[in-house]
Amino acid sequence: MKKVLLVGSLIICMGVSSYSLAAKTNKVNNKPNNKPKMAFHASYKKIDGLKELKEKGTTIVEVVGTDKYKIVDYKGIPFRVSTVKVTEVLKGDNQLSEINILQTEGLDTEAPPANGEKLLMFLRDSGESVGGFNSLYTPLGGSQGMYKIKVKNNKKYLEPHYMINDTILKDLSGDFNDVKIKIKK
Amino acid sequence: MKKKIYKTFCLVMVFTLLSSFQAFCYPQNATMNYSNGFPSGYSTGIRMKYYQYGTMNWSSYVNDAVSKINSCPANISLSNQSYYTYNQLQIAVSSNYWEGGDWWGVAGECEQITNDLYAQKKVYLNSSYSTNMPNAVALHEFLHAFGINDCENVYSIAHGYALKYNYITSDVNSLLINRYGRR
Repeated sequence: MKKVLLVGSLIICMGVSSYSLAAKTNKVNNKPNNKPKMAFHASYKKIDGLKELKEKGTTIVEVVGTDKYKIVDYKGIPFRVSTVKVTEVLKGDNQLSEINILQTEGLDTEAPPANGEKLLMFLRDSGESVGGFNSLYTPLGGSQGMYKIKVKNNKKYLEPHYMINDTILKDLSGDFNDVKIKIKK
Repeated sequence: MKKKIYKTFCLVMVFTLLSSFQAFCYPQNATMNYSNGFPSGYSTGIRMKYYQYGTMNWSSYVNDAVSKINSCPANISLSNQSYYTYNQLQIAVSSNYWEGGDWWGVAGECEQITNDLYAQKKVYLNSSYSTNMPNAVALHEFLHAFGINDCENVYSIAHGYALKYNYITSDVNSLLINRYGRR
């Protein structure tokens, strides 16, 4: 039994080491002679916690990603319009069933919702029509306004979609149902 | 023995969680991406031009950022001249009102300049997203063009959000000198 546990731990250790190494390599391509990577960078305002997300988010919704999207030219920059299905409205128009999300194409910090991915999104109206779409929503502060809804032991909790803002994460930690109550307050 | 195994297992699990968490954020300190930027010999006199769309004029902020690049100790420089044509440019800078974008600035749309090197061809400055330090935004985006990556360090000009400094901080100066040499 002890041997099995030891071998198991060793295998996990090796797996974690390889994963960690791969994650670091993916995170920053900082060595000469690596395969060239075309990088896009954006600078954002840091959002000061859930209070600001609630104040600035005109629409706060639970959504599921779909495979519907369109790349549009928006004043010379490629943007992506992704369609998501709304499963619950925490703030905003309760009649919303499907909405279009506007994000800058090519930025890691604005990775679009994946098909079937469940997300909590803090959104604002994008302000103007883009690529023939009249009603568009922009996640606040890149992906500071996007959180994955995960389930563990029958309890839902949130994980950052890409950008990590510790102040927001502290406010969104714990059971998702309790977080929803805080958002609706 | 069981306790040891249990401890090891717990450590491994904590490490796994930390690794998966860190994989999705900026690195703590500023880093250089050697796949982006310019070859050392070409890192001076990089040709750029500013195009203004909309009413907000970023010229003074762009010029301020250019002067900071040109006076830094590393062997890099930008040449901002209105007579360049688009095809002569290494960096085209545009300002506009992208109300649907929640960012201050973007550097991107890279162009391959050697086998393993890409240069940021364009810098976009968003006039609809107000900041009290537009010169810091312009400088931050230009530094991307020289290969600097975003980071979590709030005391660095390379910080990915909430820029506090409008000059090239020492961490970034070191990275630039290390790659391009001193003037």
